[in-house]
Amino acid sequence: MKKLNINTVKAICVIIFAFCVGVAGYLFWEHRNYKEPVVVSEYITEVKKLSDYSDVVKGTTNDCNVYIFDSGVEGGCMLIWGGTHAEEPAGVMAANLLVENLKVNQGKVILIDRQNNSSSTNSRVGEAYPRFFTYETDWGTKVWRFGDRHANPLDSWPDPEVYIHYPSGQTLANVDIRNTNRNWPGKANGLLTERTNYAITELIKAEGVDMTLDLHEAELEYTVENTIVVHEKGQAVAAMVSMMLTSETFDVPIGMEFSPTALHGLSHREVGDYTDAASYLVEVAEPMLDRIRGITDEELLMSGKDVFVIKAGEHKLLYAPIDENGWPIDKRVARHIATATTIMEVNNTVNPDQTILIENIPTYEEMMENGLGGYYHDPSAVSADRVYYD
Amino acid sequence: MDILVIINTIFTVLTYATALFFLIAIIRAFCRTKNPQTALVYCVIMVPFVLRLLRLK
Repeated sequence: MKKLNINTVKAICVIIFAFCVGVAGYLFWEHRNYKEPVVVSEYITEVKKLSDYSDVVKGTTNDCNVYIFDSGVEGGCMLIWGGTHAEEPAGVMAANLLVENLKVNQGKVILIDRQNNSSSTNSRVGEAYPRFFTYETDWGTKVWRFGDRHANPLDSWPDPEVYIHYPSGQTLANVDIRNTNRNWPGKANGLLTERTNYAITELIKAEGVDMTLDLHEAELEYTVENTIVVHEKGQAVAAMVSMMLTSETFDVPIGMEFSPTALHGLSHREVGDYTDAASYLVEVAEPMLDRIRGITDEELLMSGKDVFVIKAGEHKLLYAPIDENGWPIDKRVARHIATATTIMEVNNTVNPDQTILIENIPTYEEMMENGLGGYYHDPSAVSADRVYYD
Repeated sequence: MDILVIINTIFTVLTYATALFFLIAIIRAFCRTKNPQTALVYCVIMVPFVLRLLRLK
């Protein structure tokens, strides 16, 4: 057989190289640049950017949309956000569902779908995470980015050897400098995640927010699970919410835990300490986050079913129950939304001057019965002024 | 500006400069080699450097 000329070999190598760079580059580019369409509720008052509250995030990936529902009637103000950790989709989907349907009759509700947008533009190295997750609706497939717990290193790098939290001075794991739930209340001249939280703290002060709710998910191997973690200011409300939801609504109880006073950087601690708001954080079980899981794909993410996690549950090795039904996304999102609406409801009785009255949000039972598809709207079927992109 | 931000900015610039330096060095070695197997290896090695410089990964 005739031997190939070295230049011919090199030309073939360059073609293979260009193909690999092209395919890999496109996949990375698509994940980093895909915009999630959001059809805002017809009752929305205003959509702002986070940089409207502080220009420290202007022009960055984390200059997220801020969806404002102001009834114009005096009452309380609640800020709810998802997407602190982009590998916890229930929070994003719950905030998104609220944005697309909410009507506020008294007080004000502010929503952020993607609190740490940057973390949704990359993946976790070595974990084989899917880039996107989807939900089938009546009008087609709704797509969200799936990401990591930390901001994209393309937006904030390198991490310090030891992360020193501002202003407490507490030392934390270096990678947590890119975790927006480790650097509250933020820092105006800090790195991207610190500036993001600083801007949200400014939002809380500017809008006179009374309550904040940070939506999360957690592995079943983790102790802080299916619970509300709350600052001292919100303990009475959270305790009542926990009792009401556990006794009347949820099949799996939701607990209530005090925010540790000596653990800094978390929203439930610092937002309560540095603003007038009572800060809440809610967790729900997500089997895909468990280290003992099997195949890591979108199916596991959405169904919450994994044979290894279920087996661990049979041996009582987990902090949340799991059976062959898993923890489907409908249930996780429904729990988050029911918790948010119940916090408002209970707070109305505990603090009547902070009353927030809402409607047009499905109940837990409705979401469990109908699924979530009917509550997300077709961006191509509404006028362009109702479609925003996260 | 915070000292950490300044340090990060310097390191980021240096990282990209280093990636560019090594990419040029690999391209140069690729052009000079007469060994087909080595040429293929250089091409594979170049991929992450290019993706980094294009800010894709």
